[in-house]
Formats: sequence, structure tokens, C-alpha cells
Amino acid sequence: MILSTYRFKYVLPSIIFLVVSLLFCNTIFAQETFKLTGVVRERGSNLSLSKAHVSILERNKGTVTNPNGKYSLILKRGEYKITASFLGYKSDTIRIHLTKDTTINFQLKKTSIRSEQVDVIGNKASNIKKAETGMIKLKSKELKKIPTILGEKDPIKYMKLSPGVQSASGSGEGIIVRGGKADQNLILLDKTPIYNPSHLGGLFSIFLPNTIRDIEIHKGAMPANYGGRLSSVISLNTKKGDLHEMNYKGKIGLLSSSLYIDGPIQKEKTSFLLGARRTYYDYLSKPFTKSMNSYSLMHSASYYHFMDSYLKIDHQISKTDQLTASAYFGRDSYDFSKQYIDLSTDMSWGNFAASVEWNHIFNDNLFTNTSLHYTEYNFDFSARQSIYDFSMLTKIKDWIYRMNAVYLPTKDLKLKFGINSTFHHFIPNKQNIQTDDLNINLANITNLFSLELASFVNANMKITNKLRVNAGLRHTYFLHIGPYDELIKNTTGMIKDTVHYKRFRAIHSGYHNLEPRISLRYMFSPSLSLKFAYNRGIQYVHTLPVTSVSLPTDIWIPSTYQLSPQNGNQLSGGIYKNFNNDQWETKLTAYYKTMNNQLKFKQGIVNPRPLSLKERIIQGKANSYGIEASLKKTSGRWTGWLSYILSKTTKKFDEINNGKPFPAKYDRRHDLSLIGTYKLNQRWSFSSTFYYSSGDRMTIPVTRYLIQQNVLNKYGEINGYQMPSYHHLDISAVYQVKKKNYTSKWNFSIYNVYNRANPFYIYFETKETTESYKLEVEPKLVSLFPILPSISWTIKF
Amino acid sequence: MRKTIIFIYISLFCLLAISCEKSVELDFPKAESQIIADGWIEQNKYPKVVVTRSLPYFSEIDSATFRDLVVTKAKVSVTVDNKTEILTLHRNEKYFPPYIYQGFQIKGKVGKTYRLEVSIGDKRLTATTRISKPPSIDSLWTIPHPQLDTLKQIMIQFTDDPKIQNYYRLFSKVKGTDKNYKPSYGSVFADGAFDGATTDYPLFKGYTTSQGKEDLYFSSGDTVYIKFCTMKKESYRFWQSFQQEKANSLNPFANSSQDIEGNVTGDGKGIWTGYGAEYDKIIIP
Repeated sequence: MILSTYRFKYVLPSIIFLVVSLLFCNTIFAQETFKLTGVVRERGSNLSLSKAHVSILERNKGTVTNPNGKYSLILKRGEYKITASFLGYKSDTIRIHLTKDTTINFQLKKTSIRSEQVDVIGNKASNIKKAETGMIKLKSKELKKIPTILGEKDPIKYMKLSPGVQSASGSGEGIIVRGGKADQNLILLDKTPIYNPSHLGGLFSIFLPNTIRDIEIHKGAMPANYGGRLSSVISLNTKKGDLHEMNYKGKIGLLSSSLYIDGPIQKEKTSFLLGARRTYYDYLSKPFTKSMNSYSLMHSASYYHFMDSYLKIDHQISKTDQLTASAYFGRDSYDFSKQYIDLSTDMSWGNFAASVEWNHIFNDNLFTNTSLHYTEYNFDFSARQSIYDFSMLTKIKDWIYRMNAVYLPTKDLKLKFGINSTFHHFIPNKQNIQTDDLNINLANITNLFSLELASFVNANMKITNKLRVNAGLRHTYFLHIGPYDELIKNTTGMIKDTVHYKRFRAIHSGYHNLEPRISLRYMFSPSLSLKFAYNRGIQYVHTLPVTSVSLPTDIWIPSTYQLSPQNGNQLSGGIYKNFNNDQWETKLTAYYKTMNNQLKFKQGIVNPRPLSLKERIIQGKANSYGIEASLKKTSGRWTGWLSYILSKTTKKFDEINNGKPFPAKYDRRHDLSLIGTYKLNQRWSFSSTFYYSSGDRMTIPVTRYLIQQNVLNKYGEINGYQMPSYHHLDISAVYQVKKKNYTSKWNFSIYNVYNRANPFYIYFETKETTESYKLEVEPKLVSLFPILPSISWTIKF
Repeated sequence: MRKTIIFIYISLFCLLAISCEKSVELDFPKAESQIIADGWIEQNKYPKVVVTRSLPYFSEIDSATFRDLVVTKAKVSVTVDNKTEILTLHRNEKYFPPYIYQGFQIKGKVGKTYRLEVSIGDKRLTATTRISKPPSIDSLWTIPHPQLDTLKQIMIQFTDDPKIQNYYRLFSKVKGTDKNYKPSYGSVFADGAFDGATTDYPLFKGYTTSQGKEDLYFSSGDTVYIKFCTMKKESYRFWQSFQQEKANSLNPFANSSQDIEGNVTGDGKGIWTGYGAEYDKIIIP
């Protein structure tokens, strides 16, 4: 039995909530609706236009014509302004009063606009109008403008250059949003959480750029349908396959190659999208490494590669029902061997994510989305030296059920509500040492199971023409469940007894939390608005960094009966102003954020007996505040942005620094990014990105002393030293040729143009000579990515 | 065209403005010099204590500086069962710096608790330790290196005492090469994983420098003396951290920013270890 009786009191509200929501639906069925149909054609030739947009701008509604130019919309009785538009044609608007099923045909006139001047801005002045603060959305058209670096238009890399978002470890493994740790970002691919979004130290994200339709990030008060992380939500939605014809796209690059195919399985009903990518540095380096081995015993060999694959199938069951299934699989693999000491290690890590989603339209005002998700992340490490085998495994498996509904009772109110439930299975750290006749199972944390339930309601309301409110409430409930062995220890720390909890047995009464959020927007004029937001967030899953830099080895653990969840509060506000008919967008925002129950491994803990999680971990506080400013040019030949952040982040743990606050590792005072894209003509476009941030902080040794002829260090203030600043400039050029049957694109890019040795970490190499007792210390700055030129060729037909 | 030029100009400007980089200069806070005591006592042997001072991290060090680190004017005493002996400073070329405080009356006994006191002027350091029961080595043998059969690794078999928590430390000394017993990597361990079992444990060659440059394997023909010790938990924690710190100082990914806490309290730092030691010998075939 999953739920013991006392837990029903928390599940029950969710069920009641669901039933009430469904009752709502029945009342809505009763409303009167009519069908608006028609054809969009070219004026003169009378050719029907496929994929033309037919929209009702004031209602934010619309559709796209089919290959015969036909469209159809279901609307309520009322007055409408219907607009038909198509790239390269003059839009046409017709006003109608809908009282019965109606047919409206459009005839669009061809224009002679040069295509590079047509900049479709998805939502004019949306930055001013939206109630949410700290939200950035990039649609596929904007994604196309992303600079292509190392042959990829990486959406995550681009996001990291937006204000308030930083890369952990400079290079990019991990994302730091407003002083929050890398694990405080919920990264969703088709609404499925992804636990590790990076490849190769963050140089690439796992997402296949050509499968992404849009990406949005919420740094402030995220809508109530999102939760579970303190700092941000980064949601990536994928494209649908073409319902009418097959498309092929292939890319060949120096580092990696990729292939994308999409098209119909059953025309106008079922489509698919397939993408795959692999790097091949390992194949290129293998022959060379082999020849080296035969000469040198000391030689060490290492091979690295990563791959990604993605498949999506969309099926239109009826006009009101759509079914989508998608799956992602990706893997990084790194082999390292050192023959002389007979050491070989294998590392492999990656994500697997799959989902099935059902979208149903009850009517114009009510839509539901029901989905099932599975996500898995694992990190496998094995090493063999001589007769010893060492293996380490960390793994996460989540099963998720979601039901979300959108209800539009009036044109000024949008309600979202729903439930979420997740079953977590974590294997934080499973280690094994084996020799030929002895198997040592080291004291480690193996299986942890838990249940996370959430229900939410979110309202986006227009109060007056100037004031808009987005408010939401989320209730979450988290329960640590069996199987689990609780160790009962005596006063000396020896294990006296073990209490075994059976499968699905509750170990404690659970944590339940309310997470309110509200954001307000006041519009002084169509180009000037003021926004304010507050939110409270709870986080039940965490990483415990094993190393001092963010690496894929970071162990994920859930909250348990002993480990309380993280919670945080954030206040933010800002002023948004657009100039020159929304061509220039500016904003100035400020935030203050507190985070409690932050986790840290106890440093230097040495205890051979099995320890409970609570004994290994300490919990403390963090807070961060800062100002973010940005200037963005959204249209024209030149587009791009400049953003700057001034911020401060501190941490406080009772057990560290005598309980006094100390700077966080990623306490970077200044952070600046500059992106520019310039379209010279139909064939050539150029782009450039520049990123600067203050260096990360670290603890450094201050004195040294001798113990048994070994030199030991005494360390200074915690994170008291700031590493050199991090910056790089990347440039790229794209040469595009469009022919009748295909489009060919050459991309030339240089990452880190001036070959800056950016600090990944600093360590102190001690050179000692036993005979003369001479000792030298040399600070060594290790940087990951030097200048990296790259060429890639993409063909699409 | 004009815009293209502006673009190139801006890119170049960024490049020039940033590429004049200063070299890494670390601005260290001044740290005060501390007294460090490193002492040990084992059954049937006299106590030995090295007293030194700590140095600023980036100061240049050579053998002369090391020699200057030795505190020669300290009063060092060891007390057991209300009997106190003042240790005297001796020159001993086996150690570096070659000055060591040594006793000649009190010999270590299993189960006894020893108190160390070091005083220099108004500064005073104290620590206590106990000598635990020595382990017994059941057998010793070697395993050849997989590729080079002239290189060997020693295996040691012993039986752990299941009644108590045991903490071990392994040393080795190659006849004719090493002046002292040296700890090897992985030589500090506890019975967490094999409580009460007969266990085979590997012994690699010891090293004294933090670089570990010397080979890990013994060579055929080597006569290797083995010292296998038990110690108390406080000492284990110190030596475990010491071993970890030695390994971590080469591994920048590790959280190597932790002070090692020994059992010496007062106006300084250090460690005072009581060893229950068992000795053995093997000639590498």
C-alpha cells in the first residue's frame, strides 16, 4: 500500500481538486460555438496558400492552412477581427460578427519585400506586456539567429548569455541562476526533467538544436505549473514533424556530425521527427594513441565521445485530440588507461527521457494536457588496477504523471490548474571493490525511494488596461518511502539495530508545503512598464558535489526523513522600456533571494563505519542579491543584446567558518555578455559573442608545516580568494546557398578567439627534492577550452 | 559596407582590449607562524618528537630554511603514570630536519596512556595518546606486476579483532635504500569493510614526498622490512586526512581545502601517535 491513512489527507485535496476541475468542463460544454472555415489564396493566380496564418490577434488565437489552403476555427458567438498572413504577402483583415457557421475566404497580394527585412517578432512588445518578471522565451525564428559556435546553434549556451544566467565553472557545465546552485534549475525537455543537460564540460548541451521549437526560462516567479526547483525553470519544446512532406538535414563538422529527418507517416495525421548526433574525436585519435603505446610504457590513453538521439511521433486523433510520444537518449563515454601502473578506467554517463502526451481541446476555452514521463540519469565509473576492481554507480529514475488544464472563462482571465505526481528512485552512490577472492561493499547509500505530489492553480488576469496580475498557488507533498533500512546506533556510534521498512511503507509523515507566487505588471504606456514579483519555492531533490568543480559525478539525492527539503524566497522587480517602435528593448531589474537548507558534504569526514545521510551532510543558508540590466535590439540587419549583472552571493553553515557567512564559490561580482548578429546579405551572416565574469572563489593555503618530512598546508578563509576573471570572444560566419531542391550552409566559427586561458581551477604544484630538501610551489591554472576553430557543412533538402 | 567595417572594428577592439592580461598574482593574507609538534611512541621503544614552526605558503624553501624551522629550544616532556621524562634534543641524520627530541627512560607499553607537553616561552602544546594492542601478521607474499615480472606488490594477510573498532597503518623499508620506515599510499585504513575477517591487504612501496614519484612496486631481490601498526581513532583520523591530503594535493578536483586536525591542543598544531607495532620481513622473489 503506497499511502498510509494519514497521507490520504494530503492526497485527497488533490483528487477533490481534479474532480471539481472536471465538473467545470461540463458547464463549459454548454456554451454556444460556431465553425469558421475558408480558403487562403494568392490574388491573381488563385493558387491556394499552404501554411498561411489565420489569426484573431486580440484573442491570441489562430491556425495554419492545410496544403489546400483551407483553415477552420471553432469560435464562440461574437465580434472578431480575422487576419490572414503569409510571408511575402500583404496581410488581410476582415471584421465579422459570428452568429452561425461561416465561411470567409482570403485573397492575399504578393509583395516585393526583400526577405532579410522581414523580421517576424512573435509577440510585439511582449517584454512590456507580460506580467512575469525574469522570463525569456525564444521561438524557433529567434533560435535561428543564435550564433553558430563549434558548428552548433546551442540554445542552452545562448540562454547562459542572457541576464541573470551564468555558467558554473565558466566553461558551462551547470547553470547558475541568480546565485542559485546548478541543481536548482529544472530543465525540461517536452516537460520531462533532464538531470544533466551538458556534454563535454558544458561545451555542448544535450539538446539537438534542430529539434527544438522554442525555449523559455523563468528566473523569477515561475508560473505555478512549474515547481520543484528554487532558482529557475528552463523548458524546451520540440518541433513537430512535417505532416505533408519529407525533410532531410545533415551536418558534417570537425567535432561532430548530425542527421535530422522528419515527415509524415500518414499524411496530415501522423508525423515523425528523428535527430541524431555523435562526436568522433575518439575514432580520430585511436590510431595515433595505439602507435604511441607500442613505444612507451608510460603512455596513457584516453578516448572521449558523446552521442544524442531523439525521436518524436505526433498523431492527430481527431480535431480535438492529439497524441505525442517522444524519447531522448544520450551518452558520454570516457575511457582512460595508464599501462605502466596497469590502471584502466571507464566512465559513462547520460540521460534517457521518454514521454507520452495527450492534448485534448474540450472547446475554445478549455484545453487539457495529460502526460506520462520517465527520466533516467546515470553515471557509471569503473576502474581496474592489478587484481582490484572498483566500481561506482549513481542513478536516478523518475516516473511522472501530469494533468494540466487551461481554462479561459473570460478574455481577461487565463486559469491553469492541474496535478503532478512523481515517483523517485535514487541510487546516490553505490560502490564496490572486488579482488579475486574478496568483495568489499563499502559503506554507501544505495536505494532511496520517494513520492512527490503537487497540485496547483494559476491565474493570469487583466485587472485594468494597465494592471495585469499572474498569481499562483502550488501545494506539494513529499514522502520518503521504503524499502529502506534505518540504522539504529548506540552512543558510541556502533550500529545496534536495523529497522527495515517494506516497499512503499512511509518512513515519516512527509513534508507538505505551500508555494505561493505572484507577479504584477503596471503599464505606464505601451512601451513602458513596471513589474514586481514574489515567490516561494521548495526543492526536494539535490546534488551533493563530490568535487570542488561541477562535474557529472555530482551525486543526486532526494530529501529523506532526516534531510529537510530546500526552501527559498525571492523578491524581484524591474522597469521595462522599449524604444523606436519596440526595436530596442531595455530593462533594469533587481532581486533578493534567500535559500535555506542548502546541502554540503561534511569536509574531511573520516569514519569507517556506515554513516547515515544526516551524519555525512550539513545544511545551511545562502542568500543572493543583485541588479541586472540589459539592452536588446530585436530587429533589423543588426540584432543582439548587451547584458550586465552586479550581484553578491553568500553562504552560512553552523559547522563552517565558525558559523559566520562566507562567499559562495560562484559569488561573481560582475557578469557581462554581448551578442551581435549581422546579416550582410542573403548569403552571408556574421555573429559574435563576448562573455565576461568575475572569477570563481576558492579556499587557498596560507601557511605550510612539516609532518614526518611531508609538507602540509594550513588553509585561509573559506572561499577567500578570487580566481582570475573569465572571458572569451567567439565569432562565426555562415555562408548560405539556396537552390531549388536544397539549401547548403557553410559555417565557420572560432571559439575563444584570443585564446584566453580561462581558469577552470587553480591548484598548487609542489616540487620537492628529497635529497636537497628544496621545495618550490607553483600555482597552476588549468583552463579547459583554448582557441577552437571549427567548420561545418549543413545540407537540407 | 560601412556597417561591416563597424562590426570588424568592434570585434577587434574587444580582442585588443582583453588580450593584455596580467599574470596570476595571488595576494595572500599574512599568516602567523605556529609551533608544530609531530611525535610518536610505540611499545618497547622510546618516544620521539619533532618540533618545528610553520612557514608562509609562498616563501622559498630549501634545506637551509627547513633547518631553520626546527625549534631547538623547546621543553618537551612525556608523562605516564605520574612519571615524567624531559626529552633531549639529538642530531639524527635519519630524519630531516635532522633534529629530534628523544627519551631514554620511558618506553612504550601496550594499553598505557602517554601525555606529551611542549613549551617554548609562554607557548604550550599538549596531547595524549594510548598504545593499542599490536596486530599480528598471518602471512606475506607477492603478486607480480601484470606486464613486468621483475616488479612486485606485497600482500599481507591478517585477522581483524571483531570485538573492537581497529585502525591500521602500514610502513615499509627497503634494505639498503630507505633510512626509515615509509608509509605507502592507502596505508592508513580501518576495519569498516571487513570487521573481524581474515583479510588480504596490498602493500605498495612507500614514499616520502608528496609527488609520489618513486615506483609503487618493489623489485625482485629487495629485502623489505614491514611495520604494521594499530592506533587510536584520533590518530587514524589525522593520518587518514594526511594521506588524503597528500593524494588530493595532486588532484585538483578533490576538496583539498581542509585543515588537518590533529590531537595537539594549545598554542600550535600537530599529532602525537601511539602505535602498537608488529614487524616482519620479506625478500622479494
